[in-house]
Amino acid sequence: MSPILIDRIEFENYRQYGTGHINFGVDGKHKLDVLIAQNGTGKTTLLNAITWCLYQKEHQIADTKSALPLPNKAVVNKAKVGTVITVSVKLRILDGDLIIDFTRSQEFKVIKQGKQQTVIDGPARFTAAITDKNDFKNTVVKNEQDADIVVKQYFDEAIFNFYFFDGEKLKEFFADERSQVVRNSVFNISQVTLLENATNHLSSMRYAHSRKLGKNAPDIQKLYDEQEEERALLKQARQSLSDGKIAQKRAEEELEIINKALSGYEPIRHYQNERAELEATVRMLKEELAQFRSDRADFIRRYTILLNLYPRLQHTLALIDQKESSGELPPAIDKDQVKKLIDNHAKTCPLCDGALDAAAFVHLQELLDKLSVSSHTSNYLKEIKSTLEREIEEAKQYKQKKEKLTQRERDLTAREEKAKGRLKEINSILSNFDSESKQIDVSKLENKRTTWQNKLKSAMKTIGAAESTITTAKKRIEDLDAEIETFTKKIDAYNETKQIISVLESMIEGFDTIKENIMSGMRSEIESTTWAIFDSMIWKKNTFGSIDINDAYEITVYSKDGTRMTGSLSATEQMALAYAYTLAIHRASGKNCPLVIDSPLGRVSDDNRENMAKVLKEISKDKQIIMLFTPDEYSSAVKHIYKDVATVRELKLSSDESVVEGVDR
Amino acid sequence: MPISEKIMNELSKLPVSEAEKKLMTDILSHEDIGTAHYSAPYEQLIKNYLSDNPPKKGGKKK
Repeated sequence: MSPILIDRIEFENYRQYGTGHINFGVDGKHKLDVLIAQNGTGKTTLLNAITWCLYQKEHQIADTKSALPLPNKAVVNKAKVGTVITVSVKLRILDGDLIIDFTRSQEFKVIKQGKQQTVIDGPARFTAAITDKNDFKNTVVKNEQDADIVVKQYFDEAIFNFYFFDGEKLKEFFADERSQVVRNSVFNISQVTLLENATNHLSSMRYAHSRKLGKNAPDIQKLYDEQEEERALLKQARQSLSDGKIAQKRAEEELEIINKALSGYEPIRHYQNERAELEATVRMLKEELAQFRSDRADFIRRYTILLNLYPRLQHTLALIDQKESSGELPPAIDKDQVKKLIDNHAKTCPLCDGALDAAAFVHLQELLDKLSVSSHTSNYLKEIKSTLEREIEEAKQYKQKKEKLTQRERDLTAREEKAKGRLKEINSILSNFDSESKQIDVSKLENKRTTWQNKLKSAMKTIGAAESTITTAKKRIEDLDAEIETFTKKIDAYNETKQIISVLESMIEGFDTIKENIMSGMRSEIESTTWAIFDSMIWKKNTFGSIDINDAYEITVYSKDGTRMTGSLSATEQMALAYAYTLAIHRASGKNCPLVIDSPLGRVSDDNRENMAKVLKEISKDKQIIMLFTPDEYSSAVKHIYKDVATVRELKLSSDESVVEGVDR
Repeated sequence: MPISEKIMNELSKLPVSEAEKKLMTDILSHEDIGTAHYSAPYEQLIKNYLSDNPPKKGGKKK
């Protein structure tokens, strides 16, 4: 990633910087600038100049109401009453071939206030002038809101302290309420929001075109409308699923920590072990009961039919038995054969070869009248007899089988109740447990455990509902696609609109894929980069084990044995973590923005200063770093590290303390 | 502002034609400008794309 650079800052009548400029060293192998100034000279004011230019706020001023006005004091005192003084700060940024000049200016009118001269605020203006190095004639100048958008894409104000870093304000980095802001800003800077906006606009166009398509075909319109509703449901359900999974992961992590803490406490370990076994038993019994209920449903279905048919089965079997005992099954004479002889006027008997005369035919007819069953029917009846017997036998077993099922249900239910009862006892014991040791409050942990278990249950419910909705919605969208396909095939006149819709859908899918890939990779990338940089900055190699950044962008440091220790970091370690996190966010956002650091090593203990200074020097090969040191911070060791690579500038106040010297005029 | 390298890398991996990737890049560049009126320019971009890359007949709808 080629670095984005602050090339130059220009002041006009701005505080103690007056009118002048500072060019930064952007051409060397290391993009490193060191400005050295005593406290009170203007180090923080330089940071304020940058934030005032970009955001119209001097973020490092504690109370703007009681601060000095912006215009340089000497200029105000020299000016006549009624004069309008213009204060401006211009920041020049280089991004590849682009030169971006952010210029904020404000007018101030000089007035008399008692014996002093002061100013009142006048109108302000903010522009971003963008020039391509290859086309100097066509500079695009954006005003106010549009210029603010440009600022947001480089230096989002929501996370300004990740670019303009005050080493004295580390607490702000890790405050809980910052994490969501960081997350949103990272997405904004990495242009994930740009993708979302593009997708939303294209979706609106798709909807508009589908309405056009359906204008003369209201049936199609209904289908598109329903499809849009399903898509909205699907989007909602996906968000719900994502939220549910985040909540599930969080709850599982918390439960793991709590369970580990509890199982590590000897007096209650046996309860913990028993509880784990009982929970597994309850889960298994739940599954068995589910299987039992399925088996019982099958049983009821089977016997409802069987018992209904029982009288008829018995009757049919009785009929067959009766025909068997009367000799009709199998018949000694085949009825069909006799009928054939009569119909064909056979000349001879096929059995005895005797001639068949009229008397014989009469006899055959009498026989036919007597025979009620053909051999085909007879064979069929004999075949089904065994089946009938089996079914009847099974029907007779109804009572016995029902009793078995009832017993099984009783048994499973009793076991489940027993296990649940014992679980309840153990939970009660543990939540009222009076820990002798002060290192672990069992009852407090138990209450926490219950809370997180409920949260986990709720999250699983949300996930289940969301997954179900997603499956249903996806299926419905597919079905609607098929229906729409059928309809639209008939409409030649709307081909172009159809093609546009197809292109829109393809692009929406493409942008969604890009967005998902970037988002999923980004968090883990930030996490691993933060750890790598933090580990390189810290001299302790046996204490820290890992860093975790969850989906909500909350950061946690773990020891080598897996204990959380974010709250136990020293000031130096906090600084290292803040640097590491900052640099990781820069890298992951896809924009290699510069870093301006006030008091970069101020809170770092002496023995770590060199190490950290070396790491920052290494980083400056690929990223611009502007550092504002006090002379004490810029020790000889640090000086030695930076002497051949940094552009060094000393700032000091003039003898009348009205202006900073060391700025180019 | 330039579209980020991350986005461009992901875009290049998409299983669509180069012409469609160019169209998507143009759309993103317009989005980047922050336009309130996107419909007409986007429609023109898509129509130009379709005119230069007519869809194959009998293609399966996604």
